[in-house]
Amino acid sequence: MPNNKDHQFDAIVIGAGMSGGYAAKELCDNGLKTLLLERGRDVKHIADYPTTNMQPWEFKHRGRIPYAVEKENPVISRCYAFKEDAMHFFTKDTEHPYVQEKPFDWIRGYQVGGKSIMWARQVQRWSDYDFEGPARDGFAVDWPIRYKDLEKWYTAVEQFIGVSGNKDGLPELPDGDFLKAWELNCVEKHFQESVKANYDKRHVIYARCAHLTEDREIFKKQGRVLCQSRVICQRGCPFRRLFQRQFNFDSLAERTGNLTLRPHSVVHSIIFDEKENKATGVRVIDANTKEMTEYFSKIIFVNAATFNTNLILLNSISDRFLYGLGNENGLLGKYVAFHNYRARVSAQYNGHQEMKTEGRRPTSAYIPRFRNVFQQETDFLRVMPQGLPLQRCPTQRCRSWGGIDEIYCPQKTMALGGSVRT
Amino acid sequence: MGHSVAKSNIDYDDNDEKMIQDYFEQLTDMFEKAGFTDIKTSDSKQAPGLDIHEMGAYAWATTQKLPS
Repeated sequence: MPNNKDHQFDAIVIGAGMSGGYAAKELCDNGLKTLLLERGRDVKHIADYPTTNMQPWEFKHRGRIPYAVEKENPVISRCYAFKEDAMHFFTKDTEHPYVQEKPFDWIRGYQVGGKSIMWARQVQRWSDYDFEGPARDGFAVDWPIRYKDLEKWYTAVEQFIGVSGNKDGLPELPDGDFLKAWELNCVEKHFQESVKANYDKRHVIYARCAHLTEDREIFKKQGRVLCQSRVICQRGCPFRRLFQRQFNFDSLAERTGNLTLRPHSVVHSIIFDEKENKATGVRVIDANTKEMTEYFSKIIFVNAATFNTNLILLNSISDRFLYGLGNENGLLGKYVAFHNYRARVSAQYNGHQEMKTEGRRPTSAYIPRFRNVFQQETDFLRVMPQGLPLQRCPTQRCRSWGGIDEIYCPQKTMALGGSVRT
Repeated sequence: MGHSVAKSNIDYDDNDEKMIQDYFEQLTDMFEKAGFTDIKTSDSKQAPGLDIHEMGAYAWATTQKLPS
């Protein structure tokens, strides 16, 4: 098999989502013959966005998930974006079951592009207050890198995907190479002023968000135009105005001649060669035929998101690695990190009633982390920032209603604090 | 050959509970100072995972045991 030319590559990337797609781009651009494996189906730009131009009344269930689907798939039905307009991009509970010893809502999007099609587009940089957290506060294992190691790569990615934001000059949330920001609305500005007047080192800013708000040469080359503020991003964007992974694959293959994209390819395990003492290939099960095939390469990138990456490594058993590839310390599959999104604080503000609501904005205000940043202040560790959508209280709201999303009652303005995140 | 199935065993801990209480207090204070009214706090008690931000489950290239 290793001698079969069709099965021999310079690089193999497992997973065609956000990170795997970027890895494949870098590898192909640098001249490596790359096999990109994706367990789900192919999703072509525009051709596979069946709902992208649909009007509210064209949806059979007016945007709702049918009861039978919801009942059969309780986990994915809890996801905020699993609605009639984008449900075809989410993996149903029944399509890949798992055992919940304790409840865990595993939200997945098995397809070329992965969850980059439906993601919420938030791209805040980390700072050394994040990278130094474990070392300073004495938990987990110290990060092997610091901000300076990543800084130029943050910039490179921002220049490629396009990120709108302000240069706020905050050490806890480093600035990048941003496109212009949308405005905060009048209540967000009021809150911003109030927080500035009442607190030291607390800030309300515009969230850094991956939307095109300015033309640049690189975006023209990518065939992208300015964000139209349709605010139905999760359906797939025909304008390519926000970064969705899959629109790059065709041009990448054409431009470099180095990409082989193979959908419906579930990676079973990584092949470890004991003589060479290195990983040399992958075993792939075809999702349709169930046939197993082996592919070989000099380097392998595992970009299957957190859980499936762990599952592939745990399933990669050899005489050298009895409990999974690289699992000599027994820590593989343990110490999962996640964000605490449970808490919400809401309020009303009755000012600015002379203002009218106009237009749409696909992002929101943001409060960078202010607790335990510069020193430990509380009897708990860490804390993350909060999203801050401040909006007129809708009287009628339905995700699929796109353009008619904001039928607002004129009297009330609602302030929604987002959540604490660990 | 059989087919392996993932098992999840993940939960919040005391640090999360304290953090949520502090968030309620801090945001309530910030909203009051801004003149907001009808301030309400709520805890969805949602299971981990719905944040769609899971990461890690591997401890770099070290043989060091993590504290339990």
